[in-house]
Amino acid sequence: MMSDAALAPVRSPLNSHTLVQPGPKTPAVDLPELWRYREVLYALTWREIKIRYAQTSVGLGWVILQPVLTTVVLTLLVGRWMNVPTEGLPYSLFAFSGLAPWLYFTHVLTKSSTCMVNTGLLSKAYFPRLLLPLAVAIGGLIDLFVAGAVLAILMAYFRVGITIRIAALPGCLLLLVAVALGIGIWLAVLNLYYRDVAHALPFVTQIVFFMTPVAYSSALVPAKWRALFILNPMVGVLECWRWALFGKALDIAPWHLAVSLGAGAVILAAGLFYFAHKEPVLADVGDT
Amino acid sequence: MSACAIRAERIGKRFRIGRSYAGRGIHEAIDRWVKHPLRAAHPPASGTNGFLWALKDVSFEVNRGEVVALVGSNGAGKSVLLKILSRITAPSEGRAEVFGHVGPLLEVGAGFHPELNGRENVYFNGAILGMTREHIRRKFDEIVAFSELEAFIQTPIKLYSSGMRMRLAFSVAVHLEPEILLIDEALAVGDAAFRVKCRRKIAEFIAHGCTLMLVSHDSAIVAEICRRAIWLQHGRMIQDGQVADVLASYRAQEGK
Repeated sequence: MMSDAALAPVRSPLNSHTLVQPGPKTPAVDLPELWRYREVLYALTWREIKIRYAQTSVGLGWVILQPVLTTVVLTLLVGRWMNVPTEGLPYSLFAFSGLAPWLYFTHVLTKSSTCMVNTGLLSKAYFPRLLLPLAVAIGGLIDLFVAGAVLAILMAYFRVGITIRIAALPGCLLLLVAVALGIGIWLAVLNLYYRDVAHALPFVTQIVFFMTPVAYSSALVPAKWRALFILNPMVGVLECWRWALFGKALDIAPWHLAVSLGAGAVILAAGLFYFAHKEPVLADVGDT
Repeated sequence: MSACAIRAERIGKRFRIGRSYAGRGIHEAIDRWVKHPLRAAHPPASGTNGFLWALKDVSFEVNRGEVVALVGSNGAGKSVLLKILSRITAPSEGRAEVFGHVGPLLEVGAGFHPELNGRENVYFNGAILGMTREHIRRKFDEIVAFSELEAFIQTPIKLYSSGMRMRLAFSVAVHLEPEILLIDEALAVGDAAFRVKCRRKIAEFIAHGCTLMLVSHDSAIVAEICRRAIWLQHGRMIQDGQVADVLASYRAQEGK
């Protein structure tokens, strides 16, 4: 029967037997399935990167311009008028080292919040929907790596040496991605139900910026606000980040760090369950 | 290997009618809570109040290599059924088993992006439909030749006409080569010549033992390629049988 070999069905790595039934997806995070759909993740990530700077003239230059210009502004305003304890680091380097992960964080949040709205994807084919925010988180890393290169140049310029702790940087990167993704998946689903999320987000991240030690050091936070301050998972991420980069002491107590990162872990875990709960019917609310 | 390709058992799908969640603001949700705390906490679980059963109690089995048409008027639940079988949306009750890799051809051009060129869109769209990069690479020339868009493959598709876009999308889809193909009205693409080409490709699939489920309002096509038909009306199965019989009773009902 198979006379024409070219027409023999090509075995797809995807499911050859699927069971379709109601109810939330179990397990919440199906790693083998995510692995089977790695080609889709690759395609989504690639497209994410490709279309970000389509029809711009500066292109990837924006990745450098954004943190650099913000650092200049912060240095002129905050660095000059506030006495930020930086343990001898030039303020501009201190600010830039916080801005790079912060801009990644806000980028992932912003893109995640709209990653499932009117993409024309949800209603047309099945793939684990988690791949959409995941592609955003991975695609955003390009920006972060470019900013990282600029950071390395700045460190060389200011003759700031590195220590053995730099080896922990990939771990810090992982923390950053986990925290950003954790909040991102909440926003992705919530924005499907309430488009208000995308409207409120720029405003909210602006406020959170002032509650995160990007432009200032955690050491400046008064003791009575600390309990609230450390609930922000980005506090822990940035502390780890600067600790690894500059071999700088932590500006918060170790248990504060644990609380901050713990908050991030809770947000991520709860987000994954919430996502799995909504995933089977996302196509009914999200797409055109 | 089981001879069964698709088994659906008492599938039901319920939709909320009236305004969707998506259009509601958070303030409205809070409003509801404030005004009707009890009702907000216990929304009606079933019944017709605010819900519509787009599908109810739909059961059938499709064997390997069978070609089945879904017929019925608009809103009968045909498309929803295909979406459930391709896992795009979950049923509200019942279950379905699908044996084999599914090619969903529901709306062609999943994820086509206007800024990307033809080549990039072929790779992206192919991946979304479940093709590996290797598979697409191997089929790429064939896909482009089928679409007759060789000259424009490096052009961003925002500059394509809608017909060109559809042709490219369909060309990717027909090179999926799945074991089970679900087609929703997708055969009506392009000009007459292109449609003939598409139909020939579908005929090849069938000849190679591919299982096919097809939604179409074109009874000529249905009668031509399908042996069996399932008639849905208001989400319920009215008839499942030989295509001629089902089409006859469907037409008789329509004529009333």
